[in-house]
Amino acid sequence: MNNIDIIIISVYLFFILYVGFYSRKYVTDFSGFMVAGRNVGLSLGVVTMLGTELGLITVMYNAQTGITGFFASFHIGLAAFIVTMLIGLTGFVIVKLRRLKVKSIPEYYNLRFGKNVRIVGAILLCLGGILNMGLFLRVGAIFIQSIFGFDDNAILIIMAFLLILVLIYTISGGMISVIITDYIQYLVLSIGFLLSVFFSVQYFGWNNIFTILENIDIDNHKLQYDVIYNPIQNKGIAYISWQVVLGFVSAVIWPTAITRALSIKEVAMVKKQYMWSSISFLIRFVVPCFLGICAFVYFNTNPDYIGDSYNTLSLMPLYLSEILPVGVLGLVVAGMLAAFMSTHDSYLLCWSTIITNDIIEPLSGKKISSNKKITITRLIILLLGCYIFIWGMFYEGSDAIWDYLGITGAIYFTGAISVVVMGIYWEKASSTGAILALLGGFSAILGLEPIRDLVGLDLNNPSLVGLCTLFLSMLLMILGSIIFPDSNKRIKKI
Amino acid sequence: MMSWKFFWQAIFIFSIVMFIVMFIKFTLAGYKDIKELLKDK
Repeated sequence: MNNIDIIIISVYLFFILYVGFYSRKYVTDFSGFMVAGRNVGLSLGVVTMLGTELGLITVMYNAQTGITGFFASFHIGLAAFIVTMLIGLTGFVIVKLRRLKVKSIPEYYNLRFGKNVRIVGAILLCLGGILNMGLFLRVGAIFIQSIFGFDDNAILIIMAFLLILVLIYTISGGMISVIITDYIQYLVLSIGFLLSVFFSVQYFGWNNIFTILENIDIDNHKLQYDVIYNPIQNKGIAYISWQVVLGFVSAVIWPTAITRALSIKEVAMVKKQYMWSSISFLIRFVVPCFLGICAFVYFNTNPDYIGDSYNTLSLMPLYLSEILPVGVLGLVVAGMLAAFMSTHDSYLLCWSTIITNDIIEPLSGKKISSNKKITITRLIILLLGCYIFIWGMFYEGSDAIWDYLGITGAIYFTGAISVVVMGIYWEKASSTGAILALLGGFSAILGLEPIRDLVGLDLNNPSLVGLCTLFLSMLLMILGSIIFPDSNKRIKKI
Repeated sequence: MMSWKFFWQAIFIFSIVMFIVMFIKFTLAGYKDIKELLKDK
């Protein structure tokens, strides 16, 4: 990498650290730390949602999805776009949650079903969410290692460096720091992304990307048209259905997304925020997928590399380091680092505030002061940082990152979908039904590769486990609510 | 029948155009929101 690129990256990193420290003075209470005092405007709400959801991990796993599934993988982004747009148009779930002025999903559980559901829900949410982010640090380190051309031994050092960087400013400023840095990172990443697409199209030529891909020989066979473009043939109906569920979850149930809706200034803005964000959800899938496909084309047609084998995660960063000119590469890497940090800060903040607000405080049985909550949250952020470092060091699964994320997230969201949606729209939903549904969702852990291996479950499509778990949770919610109804209907008071 | 290839090409171009539109719109408006957010503090 050229010195100019390294200077661009260094300047950017120092700047972002400065912003983290600077925004510390704006945190005055726990609400400010967790949801920025519910004072975020529409544009900033959209930007920060994209900043969070378009993380480096997203870029990496979508590039990997593009490399393995080609243009057929675009259906994932399309499903997310349609589902989020429908939510934005109807206000399904999100408007009601925002009206209740809750800071998190478990707080909603408390309002609707009581303290026990809140604690069980928060524990499962954190378990799924923390497992979910377990590989983020390692994937980020693989990006840096590939793009700088470091050897495999450098991964641990890169992981430690990235982690320290993220911890410093997440601990410093809370949600206001996250929102300001999300904004800056959105700017840098957007420019980096657009330049990467521009240089890719310039390098290959628009039509050539498709023509070359259609003529690439894999094991002496050309890739079939359906394999490249047709998602039904390439992935199957079960997989596509699972992507629709994931699209809904990413927008409505996943805490890092819903926190953005709960932070926004006015209820009326929530629907507009989701309509605009639906496009973000499309972009965050389609653009990295496209770069992944370009990387695949590059390494399968360039005479210097034909026959070499690469980790599918490393292919996109290696490709960018080959085709981008000096200066642009620095900007793109700064953008990707930005994406890495914006996801980490949001996730760390999200899980830690939920642990403090929805597990520790209710279990303690007394109201904890705002300052003490911030201190506890900062300590948890530190512990989560240690966890992702250790998990990243030792986890050795072979599932695609997107499948890993889907199934770990399912531990929480398959139960949460039933509890949140039925809690809002079905008066008879009861607390017993809610707990059964949440515990039913936990069975999604069977889809996690090490657990599959442990119990001898031979399954090459973890999305089936996710769909079965979702069905089981809904069934438990309905049966539990009918057999064990609540004596007092909390929803009527809300 | 519209081919999958053409469909994904159209989706990609739509994404890029909207990306640019959103970038222009929200960069400016988002900056104003940040100023507002910090002013309230």
